[in-house]
Amino acid sequence: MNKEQIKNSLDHFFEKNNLPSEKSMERMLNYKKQKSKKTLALYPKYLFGLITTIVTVSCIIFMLGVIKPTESTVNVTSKYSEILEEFNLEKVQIEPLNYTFFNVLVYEMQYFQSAFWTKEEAQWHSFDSLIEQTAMMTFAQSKGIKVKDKEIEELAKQKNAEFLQEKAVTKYDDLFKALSISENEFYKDVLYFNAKYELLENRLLKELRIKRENSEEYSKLYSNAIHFYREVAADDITSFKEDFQIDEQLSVKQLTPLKEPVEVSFDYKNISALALGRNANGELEFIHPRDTWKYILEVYAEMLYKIDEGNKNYIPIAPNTYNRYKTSLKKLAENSSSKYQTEAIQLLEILNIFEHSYNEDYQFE
Amino acid sequence: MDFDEVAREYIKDLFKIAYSYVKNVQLAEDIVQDVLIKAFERQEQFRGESNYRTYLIRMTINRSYDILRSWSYRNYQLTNTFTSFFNHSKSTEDLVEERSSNKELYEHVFNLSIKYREVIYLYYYLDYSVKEIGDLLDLSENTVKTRLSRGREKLKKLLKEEEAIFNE
Repeated sequence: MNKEQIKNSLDHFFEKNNLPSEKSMERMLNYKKQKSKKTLALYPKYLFGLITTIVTVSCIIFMLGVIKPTESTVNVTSKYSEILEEFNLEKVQIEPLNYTFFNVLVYEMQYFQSAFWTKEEAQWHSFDSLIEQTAMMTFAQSKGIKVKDKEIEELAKQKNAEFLQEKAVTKYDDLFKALSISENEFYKDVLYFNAKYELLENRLLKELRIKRENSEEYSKLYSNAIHFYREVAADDITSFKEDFQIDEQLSVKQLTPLKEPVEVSFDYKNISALALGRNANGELEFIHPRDTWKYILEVYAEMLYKIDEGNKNYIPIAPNTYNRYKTSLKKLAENSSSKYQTEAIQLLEILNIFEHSYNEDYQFE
Repeated sequence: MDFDEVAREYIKDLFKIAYSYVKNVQLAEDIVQDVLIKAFERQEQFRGESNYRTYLIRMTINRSYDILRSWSYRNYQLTNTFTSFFNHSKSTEDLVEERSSNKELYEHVFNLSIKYREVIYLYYYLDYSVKEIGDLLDLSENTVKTRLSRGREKLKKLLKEEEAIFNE
């Protein structure tokens, strides 16, 4: 199935049915003689449909009043009433899954941390966090815990002040651009959402007399909340996972570790620690990135320290510093008088393999 | 360019877009006519930020969504369901023919849910780029890409199922 097939098939449909016909075109082009009208209501046959529907719906409502609930209806109700009773809850009040919040979590994990994560890994972990928070909010609201909008607003404003300080040092503008969200949406979907979550959780803990320090009770509460939420919001969770193509059974890349490097031009100092593998095309790939980064930091520590020298704080090789390191390495690799030239060439070669492995997850320059 | 000429140039595309949403000829005609009336009345207000075709297409999409959300459209759908339930007008020959022939690809496209149908339609049929679709539908490029890919997967799945039934 390709573009041409889809296009031809749709063309075929419109041609076969002569759409739009000349008559139809003339009717549409009579726009100057027409005024905006209420669609449908003008057509007598739809008017007839309207009357039929009103009568039918009235009959259905009447019949529903007379007929007793079916067995399956009873089952569904009792299913929720059992779980409500099990957790001593009043009602089912589901907090919707927050898509923007999730996207922000994924981006923050990929770009604002000192480790590299594939998008799949970042989504997987962020999905867990989203479920935990949403489950706790659902659980608290189903318990009858309430918070006023005004209270949430106040806390969200405090959070916004903290965020503005954070924004000054972190590249949030890149985040807004990448996710196509405005600061206002960030406030509403992230800061306000966080504030609501914190207030609901605090009140629930107070109501149940659970202290955060008591990790056993606290984690039990989370586990109950997640169990309850997954039960009552199963459909929402499935749709969300479908939308983001999230596989909760995240598969680990099954690649065979290398016994000896073949396509590289220098001797690795410790091959097993480098933890590279081959993909289906036989190309070298990072298969245990954290081990590889650890190896790099250990073996090339002196050179990296030299590159980083002069910076007030230690800067790790992280998503948002990667390109700076690479630029410095390129300069060293071109400088024949530098004692780090060979090491810089080696590391650039490893970085090349890294970029190849992660090119679907990060933008490299 | 004279507004009549503009209307004549784009009317087919607008109709096809409206039809892809409401799947009903009369409704699609109504939508296009409403759009043309509004565009005609607002000729002076067009700020030229996008090209005129895109401007009209965006209006058509918005108007189509209005119709889909309207109570009268839901009523129309309900009436249609009842009508098709009570009117078994298909002959035995029709049914045999229907069962023995593969469904056309366009039928599967029209049966996709709106969020997939609209991006597939704009991308494959009207040759809009991912970025342009994002601008038209107020979606990020990533969302458009995801929907395109999921829409394609769904189409492939439907075609495979169809093939399996046909081969039985």
